[in-house]
Amino acid sequence: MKISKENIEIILFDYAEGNLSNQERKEVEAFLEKNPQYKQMLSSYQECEKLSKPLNIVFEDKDELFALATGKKARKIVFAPRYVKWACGIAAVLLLFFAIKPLLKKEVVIEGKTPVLITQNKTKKKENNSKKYFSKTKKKISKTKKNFYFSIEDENDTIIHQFAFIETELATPKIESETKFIKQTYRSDREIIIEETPKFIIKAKEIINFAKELGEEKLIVVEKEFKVKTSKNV
Amino acid sequence: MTEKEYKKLIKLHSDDVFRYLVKNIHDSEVAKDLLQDSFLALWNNKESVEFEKTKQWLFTTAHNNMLKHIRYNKVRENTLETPTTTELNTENEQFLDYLLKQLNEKMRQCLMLKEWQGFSVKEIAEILNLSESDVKVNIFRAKLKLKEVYENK
Repeated sequence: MKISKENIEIILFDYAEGNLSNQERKEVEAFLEKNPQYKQMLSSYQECEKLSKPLNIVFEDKDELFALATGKKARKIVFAPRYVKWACGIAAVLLLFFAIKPLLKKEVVIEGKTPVLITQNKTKKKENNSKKYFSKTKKKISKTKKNFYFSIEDENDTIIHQFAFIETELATPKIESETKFIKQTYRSDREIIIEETPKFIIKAKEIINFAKELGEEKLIVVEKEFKVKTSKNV
Repeated sequence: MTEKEYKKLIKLHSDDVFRYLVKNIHDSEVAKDLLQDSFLALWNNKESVEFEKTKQWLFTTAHNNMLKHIRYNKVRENTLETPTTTELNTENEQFLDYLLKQLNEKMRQCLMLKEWQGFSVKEIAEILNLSESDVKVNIFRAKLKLKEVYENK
């Protein structure tokens, strides 16, 4: 191997990187003994630490890179068209409705007493009373003020409670006639509902809690024939 | 090359190629464009590129794209005064950036390909279109230069 000033850098590189045979290494070492300036050069090269990678430099848009070439969308959240969003919204509402429906129909007993009912099939029996009763209440129903009333009866058709929601945010009941009033569905956006199902049992406690949410002054117990424990707070 | 393989290559090599381009072109936006061009070219040549050699192929293409860009814009490393747009978080990274700027273009490219990517001299020669001897000399000189700069700082 011929070592000269022209090729010394290449040879020193190979020496440092371990690319030379034993014989070649010896030749280099002999040359370095005679030329100490190159020995110093080799030492400097060997002392130079490995260059560290700047790890903070990364390419973020890898998905975009893939999409660009393949024409396939990157995995990212893509907003659905409006109609899909509406469909999802409606589906969610329906699911929620069917999920809470059993809860709404769950029988609840006013504490210590028999269930209270608003019944359709009993309407006919007490039609006269109803007429009388609701003719009275109808006057108080005001679309503008959004007041409405309903009654709670016991199994003997005795009205136990008459509740009046005054100026609530609830939808005003649509009253088709006095006689149908009792089977009217009162549906609010809060799902406190008196259903038109014949034997729906309303949860008195819920009404009271609901009244609390609306504001205590908005629930008036018109008739009170027995005490409901929680109603004292209303 | 399948899409799955292509995606894997992006994950494996995009950071490295991007790093190489940023450090040579000093502009992360241009580097991003050049990287995209390189990977797009890889996909367009997926039938002819050997999967085992894709890294080298990517660096070669990226490097050639970079040279074209430099020639087209008549930008020379020595005239580049604008700071790199890459964030340098630590003192070490700032110092590394400073060190690399002390090297000439060939020295820097040879050194980065060897030290950061672990390419052999032969592979670097092919990527940069240089002789193997030139690569060796450039790496050798680059390291001596770095040591000199380091000691004088």
